[in-house]
Amino acid sequence: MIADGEMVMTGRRISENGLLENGRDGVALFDISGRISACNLAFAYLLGYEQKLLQKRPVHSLFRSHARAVLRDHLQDLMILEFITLETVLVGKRSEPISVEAAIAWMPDDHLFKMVTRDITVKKRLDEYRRTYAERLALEVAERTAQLTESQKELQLQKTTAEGIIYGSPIPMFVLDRDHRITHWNRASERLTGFSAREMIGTKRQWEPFFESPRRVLADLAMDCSPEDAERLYAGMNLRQSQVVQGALEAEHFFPHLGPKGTHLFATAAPIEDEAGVVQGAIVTYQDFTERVTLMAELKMREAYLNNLIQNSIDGIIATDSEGLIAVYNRSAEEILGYTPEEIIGRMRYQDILSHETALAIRDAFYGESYGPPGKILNMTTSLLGKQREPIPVRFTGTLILDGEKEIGSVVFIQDLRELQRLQREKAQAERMAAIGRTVASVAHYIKNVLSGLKGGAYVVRSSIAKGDLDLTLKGWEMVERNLDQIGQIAADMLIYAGERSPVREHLNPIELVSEVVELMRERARLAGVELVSEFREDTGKVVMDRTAIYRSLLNLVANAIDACTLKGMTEGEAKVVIIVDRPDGWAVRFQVVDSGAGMDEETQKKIFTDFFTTKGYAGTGLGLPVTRKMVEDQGGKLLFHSEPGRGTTFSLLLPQN
Amino acid sequence: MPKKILIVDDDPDVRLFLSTLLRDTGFEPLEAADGLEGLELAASGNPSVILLDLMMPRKSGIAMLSDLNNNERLRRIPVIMVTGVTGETGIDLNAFLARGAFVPAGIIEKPVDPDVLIRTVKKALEGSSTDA
Repeated sequence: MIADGEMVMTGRRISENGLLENGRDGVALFDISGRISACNLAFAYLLGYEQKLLQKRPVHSLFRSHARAVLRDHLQDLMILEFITLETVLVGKRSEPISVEAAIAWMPDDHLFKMVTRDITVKKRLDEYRRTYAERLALEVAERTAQLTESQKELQLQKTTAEGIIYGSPIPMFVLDRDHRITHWNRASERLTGFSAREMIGTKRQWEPFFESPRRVLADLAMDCSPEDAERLYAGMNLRQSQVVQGALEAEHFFPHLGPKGTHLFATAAPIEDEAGVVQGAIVTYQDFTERVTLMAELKMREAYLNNLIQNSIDGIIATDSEGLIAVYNRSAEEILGYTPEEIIGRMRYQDILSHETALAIRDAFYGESYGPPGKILNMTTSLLGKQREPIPVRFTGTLILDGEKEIGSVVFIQDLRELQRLQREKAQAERMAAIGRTVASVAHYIKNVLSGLKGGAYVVRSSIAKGDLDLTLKGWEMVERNLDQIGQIAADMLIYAGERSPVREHLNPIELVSEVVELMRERARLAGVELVSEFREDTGKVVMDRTAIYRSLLNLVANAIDACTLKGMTEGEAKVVIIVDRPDGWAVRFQVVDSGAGMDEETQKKIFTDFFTTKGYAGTGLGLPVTRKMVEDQGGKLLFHSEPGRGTTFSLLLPQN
Repeated sequence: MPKKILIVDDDPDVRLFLSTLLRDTGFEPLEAADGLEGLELAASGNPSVILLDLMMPRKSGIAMLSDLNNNERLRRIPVIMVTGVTGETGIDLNAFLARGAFVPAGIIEKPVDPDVLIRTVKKALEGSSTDA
C-alpha cells in the first residue's frame, strides 16, 4: 500500500518498484484532482507519448466516452468505491483508439489513484476471431451432424436393403458374425435345408443341415482357417480359391440326404471385412446344380451310347464339321478306307477320300433330288478312294446338317460293297453250281431213260430176228432210232441252253419258215391224229431273226401242241394245231401256236419254264420250253402263253422290229 | 395156259420191250398206257402180276396203287414197281411205301435188266401161289 500523499515519496516508491516501471502493463498514478503524477514506460508507450509529457495531464483526457466522464466527474465516488475495473478505450497520440482493461484503485496512504492498464486490442481481436470461429465451428458442426445423420440413415437403409436382398434371394445363403454365430439365414436356405431362420439365427448350428456331427463349414473356414485344416475338412469336395470373389472359398459336394434324390451343392464362402480389413463375419451362398449334374450325367451317358453306336456300327460313319474337316470316323469306316483315325480326323476332307468326279457327283446328289430330297442322299452306289488310292465300291447315304439355312456339317453312312459283291458273286457261283448239279442229275436221268429205250429196242430187235418176226424187228429198230434222235435232241438243247451258241441274224420271211415247220411235222401230227394247219393273216415281209433258233422253237411248240392233243385222248378230227402268223403293233412278227389239247392246270402253268420239268414222263426232256424261251429272248423277243385246262393252249412267239 | 402179266406204262417203247421180253419168257403180256387203262385191265384181264410205272398222265402209278388197294379182289394181285423215279421227280417212293399201306412184290429200276425182271416176276408169282 502506498502511504501518504507526498509526491516525492510516491515517486521514490514508484521508482523503487522496478517491476512496475518495467512491467508490460501500463501504470499511471493520478491525484484527487485527476492529474497524472507519474506513469511508467509501458503506459507512455501504449499511448505513444513521451513519459514526461504525460505529467500533470488530466487523466480523463486520455479516455473516450463513458470512462472519460467518470474520471472527470466522479473521482470522489471512486475514492468511496476504492477499486474498479473497466474495459474502455484510450485515445493515443495520433488519436487512435486503444482498447484497454483498466483497473483503478484508491490508495489512501498516498492519496493517489493507481491505474493499471493492459492493452486488449490483440485480445479483443482474438476474441472477435474466436467468436467468429466459434460460430463457423458451430455451423460446421451442425452441418456435419446433419450429414452424419443422413449417412446413418443411408447406412440403415443399406443394411435393410442388404437384408432384403439376402432374405428375398432365390439363392440359398447365410451370414455368420465374427463369433461364427448365424445372423442371417434366408428363405432359400430354409427351403434347401429344411431348417428355419427362427431356429438357426443366433446359433452355431450351420453344420447341422449338411453334416452328421458338429464341424466347421465353408463359411467358418473363410473367416479363419489354415489351408491345411481346410484341405482336411473339405477333402474330396473340390475345395479351391474362388476366381471370382477375392478371398472366397469354393467347394462342391453331393449331399445324399438333401432333397428326394440328394443334392449337388456348389458353395461360395466369402469373409466380410470392415474398412480396416478386419474380418467381421462371412457369407456363404449355395448353388444347387443337381439338375445340371443329372443332365450332364445323362448327356454323358447319351454321348457314350451314341459314340458306342457310331463306333460299333456295321456301316462306316463319317461326319464333317462346319469347316468341312472330318470329325467322326468309326471303326467300320476305318476298315473300309484303311486310314487310321489319327490320320483322318481333323486333317482330311471329303475331297481327300473321293475322286474329283465322284466328289462332284455327290455334291450334285446332295443339292439335287436324284437320291432323295435336297440335303439327303439315299443309297447312292458310288466309290471312295482308300488309303492306297484304290477305288472302293460303296453304298452311300448322307445328310447335310443345317442350322437354319447354314450348312454346319454332314454325316454319311457307307456300306462296303466289296463284301456284298463278293457274296453276290459267291451266291451266283453257288447257284450256278446247284444248277449244274441239277442239270447233271437230270441229264443222267434222261440218259438213263434213253439207255433204257435203246436197250429195250436192242432186245426187241434181237428177239424178233431169232423168231423171224420182221414186223417186230422194224418196231424194235424204230425204238432204237427214236432214242438215238432223243440223244441228239437233248445234246442240241443243252448246247443252246448252256449259251454255247450265239444267235445268227438273217433277213427271213416268216411264212417260209412256218411252211417248213408244217412240212416237217405233218407226218408226226397225222400219226397222232392231229390236224396241223397254218394261217397267214398279215404279210410281215422279211424279218431279222436267227433262223435256227426260231425254226427249233417253232418245232418245239408244235411238238408240244401235238402232244397236248394226244394227252387229251381225243377222237380224230377234233384235235387241231394252228400256226398263225400276224404282226401286232410294236412287233415285227408274231407266231401263234394254238392247240385244242388238254390245256394246263395252274400248277403246271407255273412250272413250264422250269428246267427239266416235264409232264410227259418218258418223252420229255424238260428242256424244250426253257430252251425255246431262252432262244426267243436272246433275240429280244418274247414267249407268252395262255392256257385253259380241257380247252387248249396258245403260245405266242413275238419278235421285235429291226 | 400162260400167266397174264399186265404192263402199265405210258412209254410205248417200254411196253414193246417188256411185252416182247415176257412173251419170249412164256407169259402173256397185257398193255395199258396209264393208270385208268391199267385199273380196267386189272379188273377185266385177270393178270397174275402187274408191272407198274409211276409217272404217267391221267392216273399215276401211285393213284392206281391206291385204287387197287381199296379193291378187295384186286388187292391180292402182286405189283412190281418199274420206275425211273428218283428224288428229282418229286415223288418219294420210299416215304410212300413206308406208310405201310402197300407192300410191293418188287421194285425194279429202269433201265430194266431182262434177267432181273423175269426173276422178280417169277418170284412174285411163287409168292402169290403160296398165299393162295
